Amino acid sequence: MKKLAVVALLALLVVGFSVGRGLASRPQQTRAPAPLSSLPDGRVELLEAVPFALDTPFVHEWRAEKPEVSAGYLLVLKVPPELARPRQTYEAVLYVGDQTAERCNYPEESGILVALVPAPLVDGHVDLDLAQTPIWFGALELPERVDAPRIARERAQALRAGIGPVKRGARFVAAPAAPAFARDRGELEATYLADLIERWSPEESDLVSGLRVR
Amino acid sequence: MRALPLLLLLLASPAAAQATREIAGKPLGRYPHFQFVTSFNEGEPIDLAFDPRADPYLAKRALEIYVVAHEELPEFRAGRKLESRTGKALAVRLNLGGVLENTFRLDGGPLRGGAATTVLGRGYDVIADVNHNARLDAPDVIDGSDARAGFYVVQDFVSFKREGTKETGPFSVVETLFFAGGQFQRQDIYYPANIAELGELPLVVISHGNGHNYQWYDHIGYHLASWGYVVMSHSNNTGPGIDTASTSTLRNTNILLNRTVEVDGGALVGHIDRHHIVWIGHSRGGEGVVWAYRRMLNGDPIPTAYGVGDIRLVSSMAPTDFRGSGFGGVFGSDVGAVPYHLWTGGSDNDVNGCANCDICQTFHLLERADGLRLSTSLHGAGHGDFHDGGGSSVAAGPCLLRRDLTHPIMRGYLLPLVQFVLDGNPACRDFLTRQYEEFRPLGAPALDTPCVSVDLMFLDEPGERRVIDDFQSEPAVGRSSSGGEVLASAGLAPTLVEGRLDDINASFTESGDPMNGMTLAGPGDPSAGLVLEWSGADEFLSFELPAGQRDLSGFARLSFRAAQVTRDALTRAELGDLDFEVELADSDLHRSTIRISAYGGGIEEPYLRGGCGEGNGWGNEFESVRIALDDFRRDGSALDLTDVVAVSFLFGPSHGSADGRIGLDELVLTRD
Repeated sequence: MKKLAVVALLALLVVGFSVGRGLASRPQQTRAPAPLSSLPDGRVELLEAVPFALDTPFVHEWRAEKPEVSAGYLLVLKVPPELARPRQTYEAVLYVGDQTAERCNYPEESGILVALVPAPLVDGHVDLDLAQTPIWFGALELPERVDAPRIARERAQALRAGIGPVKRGARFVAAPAAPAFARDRGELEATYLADLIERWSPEESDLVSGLRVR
Repeated sequence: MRALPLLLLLLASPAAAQATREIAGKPLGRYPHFQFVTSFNEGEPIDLAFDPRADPYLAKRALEIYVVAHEELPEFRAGRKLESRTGKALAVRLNLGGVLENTFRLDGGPLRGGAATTVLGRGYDVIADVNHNARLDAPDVIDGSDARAGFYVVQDFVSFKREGTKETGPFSVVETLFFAGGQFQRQDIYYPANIAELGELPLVVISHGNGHNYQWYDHIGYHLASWGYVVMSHSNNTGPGIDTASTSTLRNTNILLNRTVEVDGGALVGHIDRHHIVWIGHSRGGEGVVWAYRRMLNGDPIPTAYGVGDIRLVSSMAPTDFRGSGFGGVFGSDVGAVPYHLWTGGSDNDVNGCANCDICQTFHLLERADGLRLSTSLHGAGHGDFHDGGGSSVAAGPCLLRRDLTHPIMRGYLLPLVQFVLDGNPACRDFLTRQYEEFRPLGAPALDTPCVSVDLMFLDEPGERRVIDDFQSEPAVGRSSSGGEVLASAGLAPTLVEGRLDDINASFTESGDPMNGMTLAGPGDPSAGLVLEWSGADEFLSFELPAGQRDLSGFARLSFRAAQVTRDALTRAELGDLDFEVELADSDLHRSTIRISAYGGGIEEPYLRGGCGEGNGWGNEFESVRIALDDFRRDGSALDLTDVVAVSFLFGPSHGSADGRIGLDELVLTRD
């Protein structure tokens, strides 16, 4: 400081001044739970179901336990378009009975959703009775956070909401009971899954061509 | 080199060094009358300015001005006769005035940017031959040094170079698809067709968002590959969440580096520089790359072919923030100290930035980063505009950019970003720091293009700055982070509110929340700033610099960021760039004042999007203002930069906009 105190210098800048108010204190927000909207939503129709089995299992990453999977169903579902449309924020988790399902396509408008649901292979058949199984959209969440207790709660809530076994849509296509076999997930994607998406959601040509890269 | 070996010339060189000055730049319509800049676009006017009032050595000198290619500077230092790249040397005579009276237009037409090179910009030095001997010797003055050119001329790196392609650089590009055999292990790879001649090239990895496709990033792949990068966009497991997405990024990067031989017949073997990797992610993938980097910091075992130090830059396009600041001892989406860049679309109708959605506020990720931070915000850009997959832009609001305008802006920013961070290319800095209104790449949308509005933040890493006030480490409004007093005029003081930059309610409706429209901090984030307002009267806000912190001669710039507060009556009163002045004062009462609009920009008005409550105006969009400290010394200013006692902001009708309400933050001194 050479000649003047800083405060005196600053005071020369203007006629009057005063020190500002103290820190605005307010509590930090807490993370709000994902909004539930009108979920659960059971407006789901089954259009086609293709059982599959693989030689090499893959990891089902759509639930917290990340189980290994070597069989299941590829499902084609007619659902409300808003629930099928991909979002970066929370999506409604798709449940099939006691399992989470993987969304395999991203329909903007059609509401035709192709999903993969794991199920055990018993005596050469995929052990999931779709005629008796509810399929519904549960609460908004990241599927990687959904575990067995959460699935149980979601199923109970769906039951309370009157959601029962999935209905077949008017365009239902019967599939053979015997599973389609593929060596691994890559082959399943490039063949059966790509074919299903191409047939039911033809506007998603980029997705189909990408899946067929081998 | 022409006749003599360089070593001999060096031995014969004049011993004394020349005085170094900033000379090249552009004239300004008001004080400080001239802006010394680092980069010019090809064809842009280049002016030269001298300030004999601050530099008496130059007073009344007659000078011969030479512009030389920077790579030839050693030869001129060694005694080679000067030859100007502009043709005949420019003869000028200086008077006793300042830059206002001593600015001269250079015929920069012959000066080209780099050609047939992957380096942006070609360096030139300005030599003022004081003793008229056409040699570079002791009496002369030079803009340039051995380390850095005086200025750079930058070529068009945005426009497509070859008809029917998306290539902007010197190389043709090969695109190839690669399937590595596993789940989410499909890759779309772009590389220069002549890669066999090019040695090792940096790797740019792109991780798409939910519902997107790995083949939707040609606008980045062809662009960067044509400039000498290997670009790989991979299928990304975003559906389950951020952890699975980050696994895709980690795994696909590893696969490409470990199994290079399998790609396109081994064309890339020996040509990927695994120590220079850039990760770019979009939406959930944009958060995924941040989380992937954090996982590496935490010792994740997936990467075996590269280490955390090999990731040199992480960039997110419209990222989500599911993981937040962390909880229960678990890390959140916090990238740490690696350079981090963020894209935000003002029209994004998915990751929309509304106050009611913490996971939709992109700026949280920028604020958590600890190193160099950069941000690019585009009014009118939708979520889908950051990819090239066609279909919906996923946009809402007025004046939409769509992909036609978004992509050239992206190309114009991405390449300087990558070359600046990876290579330290000095020609790139101006594209990252100067406001778009004032300087933008050739080929990027012109300023008069309807709807184009770009806001930039450039926030130096801690080692490159000294904080005056970050409004965070010292919560009292009356004291700054550096320990000095903060004083405000009587009209301004009651309006000051310091706090977390987080809109407290669920909308942008003007509601009395002092932080209305702020989305920089999410739950648990400490990022704080100052809000203030003025209306019709002149006001000031002064930051005292404590003793021991008043010598600014080691710093290059004063930097801060500011944003207009959305939907506020004082913002709506004057829609447009907001203006005010910045003043430095020394202990001898010498003051120097610069209006921020002098450089051609201001503080941008909010994007006038409706929704998220009542009214129009989206989230408060901060942009950086960086003022060269030497500009305060211009044209006879007696300000002593070694003894600055206060930095002040002057608001009101005598200083710019008559009314305004702004957020202010990150008041710092920077070294470059």
